[in-house]
Amino acid sequence: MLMKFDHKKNHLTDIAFVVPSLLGVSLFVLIPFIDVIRRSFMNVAGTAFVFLNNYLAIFRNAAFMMAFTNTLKFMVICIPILLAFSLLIATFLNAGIRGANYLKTAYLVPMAIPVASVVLIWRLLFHENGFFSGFVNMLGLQPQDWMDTSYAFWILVFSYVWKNLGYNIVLWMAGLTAIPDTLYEAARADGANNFQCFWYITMPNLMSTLYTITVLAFLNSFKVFREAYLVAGDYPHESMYLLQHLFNNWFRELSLDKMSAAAVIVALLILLLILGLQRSWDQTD
Amino acid sequence: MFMKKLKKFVSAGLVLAMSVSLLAGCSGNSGGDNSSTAGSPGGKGRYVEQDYGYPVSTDDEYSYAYIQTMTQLADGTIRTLINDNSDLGFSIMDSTDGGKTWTASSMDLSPISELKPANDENTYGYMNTAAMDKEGNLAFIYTVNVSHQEGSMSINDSTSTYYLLSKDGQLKEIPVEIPGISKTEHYEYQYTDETDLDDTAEAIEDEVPEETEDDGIIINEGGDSDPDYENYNGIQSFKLADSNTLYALDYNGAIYQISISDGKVVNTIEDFDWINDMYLCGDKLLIYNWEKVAEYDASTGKKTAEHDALAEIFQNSRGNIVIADYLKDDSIIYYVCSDGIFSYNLKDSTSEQIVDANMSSLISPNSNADNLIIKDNGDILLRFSDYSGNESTETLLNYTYDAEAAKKPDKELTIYSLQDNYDIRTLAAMFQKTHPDVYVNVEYGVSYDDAITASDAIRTLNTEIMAGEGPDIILLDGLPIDSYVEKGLLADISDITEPMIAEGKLFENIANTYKSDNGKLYAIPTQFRVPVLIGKKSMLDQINSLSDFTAVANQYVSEAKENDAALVESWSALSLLGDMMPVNSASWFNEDGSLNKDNLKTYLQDIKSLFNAFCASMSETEKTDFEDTLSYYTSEDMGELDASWYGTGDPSWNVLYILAGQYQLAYGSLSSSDSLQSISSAMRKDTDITYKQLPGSLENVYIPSNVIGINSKTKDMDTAKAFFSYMLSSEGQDSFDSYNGFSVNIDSFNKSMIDPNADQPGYDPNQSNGGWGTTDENGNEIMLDLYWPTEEQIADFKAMIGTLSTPSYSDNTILSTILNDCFGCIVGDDSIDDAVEQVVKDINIYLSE
Repeated sequence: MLMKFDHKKNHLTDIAFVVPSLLGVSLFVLIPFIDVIRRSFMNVAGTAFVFLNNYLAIFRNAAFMMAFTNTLKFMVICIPILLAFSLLIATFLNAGIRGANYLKTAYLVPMAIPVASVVLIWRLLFHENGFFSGFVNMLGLQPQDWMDTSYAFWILVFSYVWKNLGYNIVLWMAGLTAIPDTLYEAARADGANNFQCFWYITMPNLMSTLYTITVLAFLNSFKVFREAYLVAGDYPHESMYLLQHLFNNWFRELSLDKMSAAAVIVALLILLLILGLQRSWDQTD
Repeated sequence: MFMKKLKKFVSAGLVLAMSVSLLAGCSGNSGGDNSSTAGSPGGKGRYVEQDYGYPVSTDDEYSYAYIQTMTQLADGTIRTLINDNSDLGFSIMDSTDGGKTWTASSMDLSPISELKPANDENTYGYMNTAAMDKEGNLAFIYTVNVSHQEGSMSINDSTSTYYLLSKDGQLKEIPVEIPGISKTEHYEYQYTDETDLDDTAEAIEDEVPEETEDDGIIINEGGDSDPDYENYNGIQSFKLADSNTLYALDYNGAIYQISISDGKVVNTIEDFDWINDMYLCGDKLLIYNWEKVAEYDASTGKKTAEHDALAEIFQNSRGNIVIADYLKDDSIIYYVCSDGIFSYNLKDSTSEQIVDANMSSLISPNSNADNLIIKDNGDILLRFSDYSGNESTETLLNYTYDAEAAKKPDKELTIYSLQDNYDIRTLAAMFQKTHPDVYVNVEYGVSYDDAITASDAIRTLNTEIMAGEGPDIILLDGLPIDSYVEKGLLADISDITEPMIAEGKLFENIANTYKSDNGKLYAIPTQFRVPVLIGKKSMLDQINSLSDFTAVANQYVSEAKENDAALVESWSALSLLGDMMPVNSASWFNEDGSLNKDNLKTYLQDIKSLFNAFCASMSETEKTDFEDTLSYYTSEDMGELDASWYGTGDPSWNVLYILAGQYQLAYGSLSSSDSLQSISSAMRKDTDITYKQLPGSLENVYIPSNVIGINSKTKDMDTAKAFFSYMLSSEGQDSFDSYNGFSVNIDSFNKSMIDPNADQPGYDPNQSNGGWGTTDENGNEIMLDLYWPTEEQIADFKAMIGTLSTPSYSDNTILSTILNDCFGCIVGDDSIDDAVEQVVKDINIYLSE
């Protein structure tokens, strides 16, 4: 009985420490999101229940489909590139090459550059009168505003990978250093080569890290909107028109009904993705 | 046991600390940076305004009185020097009750009257640039003008002398010579053949004396050349510290400290190219120009400080800034600006608001405050001029601290405008005056001092509206009106407008611009413009659409001979694409809101053809000037074009050139009775000149402006509606700037159509109200005498207003996109098809949202 009573008291203490943070999260995240869900079934003024009309409206909305497609395309392209490159570089750095620490720091520098500065660099490079246009002009090609062409999407991809590479390298390296050397020694003793060590030892041991990094990369991919917005404003080239642009513009027009429905859809998809990933890693384990 | 209790205690304490810090972080206003002392409603104690009136009456239409300077003497008497049309040309008045009542000063002015030249119609003297000190001494410049005629030359000589009139009536000349400022001026005016001068005008002589700078000779030849303004210098203002110390500020930014006894310049301050004004605050001389506020030691002329914070406050303030010649506690000065009256501590750069402009007459954007006096009892007196409404007023305002007066009225009304709007500020000021129980606050979304875009400002506004903290009244120009109506953000105002329409107080067709299908009205334009085309009747009769316009223009060019008039003024050609939008743009969109590419393409083709015809009709000189302007507009320096800049230009300015045969046509929007006066006067002079609604793909188009709505979530609907009613009333509408459009209030419109001179004695409607003219490239003068429109002309125009039924398309985002994407294909060689495709690409997303 005494043990049960102590356990209950500890349990209460634990809850007491969690409650303030939970209150804050509820107040600023959960409750507003419940309100968003509510609004997604109401009209704009919030006075009438419209059932699924808003959801049907957004799937018929060309701007939403364009933004959704672009965002999905961006993630499908960016995240594997980022994960692969960062893992490759982390593996090399972890192999003990000279100057690895300095290189690691150097890869983190892009994260420290403010977004506004990155945008200025973009303009210098990709404006119609910028460096890149000057270069192609030397080759006899027509200079253009690269941010107003389909190349804008790839510039966005490059910017995202460049900015987040260092962060992911650090995370990979944390995972790599946690793998015991004895496993590699044993494998080499059995005649395994580098690739076999990587595939049969490194990769399985990095699965949990892969899950964390994938989720973080996925969430960070939404931040690329900042560069896109600062460069091209409310209405960029079609290729880099993302969901955040649409939400931003819908808010300006006070289309809160469509915004809420779209937000619920996006949140559901993200939740499904993360749960799916988690289930997949759990099964692997 | 003890450790367990301690652990429990620590745990509970930590939980409490976390909870309190979280909740404290979530609390509302963190205080902000408003330096206002008004505070929250419910507090007491503030400075209350009293209108003391003007020291002298100016009821007689021939009399005028202008306060040149006002000073508080050491004994508390307020003394003012007033320029008027008395014998001396000025009067000095004293007030011993703080400015409420005034009597003629006991100061002996007879020595000044002796300066007055003999009674001679060619000679006169006047006082200018005066200053008084606390003892009552007066320093001034007295100028004597002598003019005479030599044949066709009119010659004027003026001599200025500096004087000090001591408080006991002793007049002393100040023998100072200020570098670069001549005390004498010689001015000659040569009349030409066309200039009537007692009917004895002679031709211009070949030998005319050359301009010289050294001896102040100024030559004016035949009315074409101006005096040598570039090198002109003179005294801008005086400050008199005492009977022996005078400070003189010239127009070149130099200040001279003058010893009155011997006329020597003791110190010179030449740190600026221009100075707005100087202020003698105790032992400090404060100098203010557009960028800096600098402090100098008044006795040595050495700079002691620069006040960057104060300079920044002044730069951010609208209207004029005046600092009182007063210093409190060795470091506190007082100044008045458009935000109110403030004290400022020069030592720690802190500012305190004494009087909130929002609760006084100072809120008026058309006002001017001067001669700020801080009385010994703490009251504040200033001279105030206001040019709002139909009449201008000049008065003295006094501010007294009333401990019982509420700091802020209980009711607050917030008016929001995306951009600074002169009319709204004027209206707010007038409403505040008539409703002292309401605190009127005007907010702007975009200020141009920061990087906030219109989109950012709209999002901020939307956030406030959704949070229930939005403004009460919204000026909807530049805002998504349709979106706000659809979302139920605007209150139904038909209970205000329908009775007014029923009583014939509002133009029904204009007032109901935004009437919805359910009969409710959510917004109303308070003003409107009428797009028109001006020209010869024979040509206008052939132009009934844009394609007609194009055909007529091309025919004219093909048949034109050398020296024939250009079709339009070159600027009209440049702005053609945008100017024609109001009467064509609505046809570019299908019912579902999508873009009709064919209609847009047709428009661009017509405009291109019209532009080419306009250019072909220009003379070689005009073409050269036009090409220079065009190269600027097509360069990177120009930046993005904004559709709101176009379609609102007043075409009546060009009616003189149509009369002179320099142009055939002019187009734009009529917005005021002055525009109609110019056109009517031209029609009177040449009966072949007329005007009609600007033809386009739409008919009967008008341009609504200053569209207003009430926020449906306002906390005080009654006060909001009271303001709304006031705004639509005749009194409210009279305060609007007529150049922004005609009033939607019929009474106000009718008043604007009354000749301003109609109530003058001896008024003759057939008498010219003046005129204006120009000279052509051959030197021939062309004059247009202005006559007020006749009753018939006004009735015709009013009938035209009655036919207006189509508001111009108002989505500035789309129109600006089209303007920027298509400008190149009109003025350059870009393909129209490519331009249309670019438009589709650029607005596709916007329309599909």
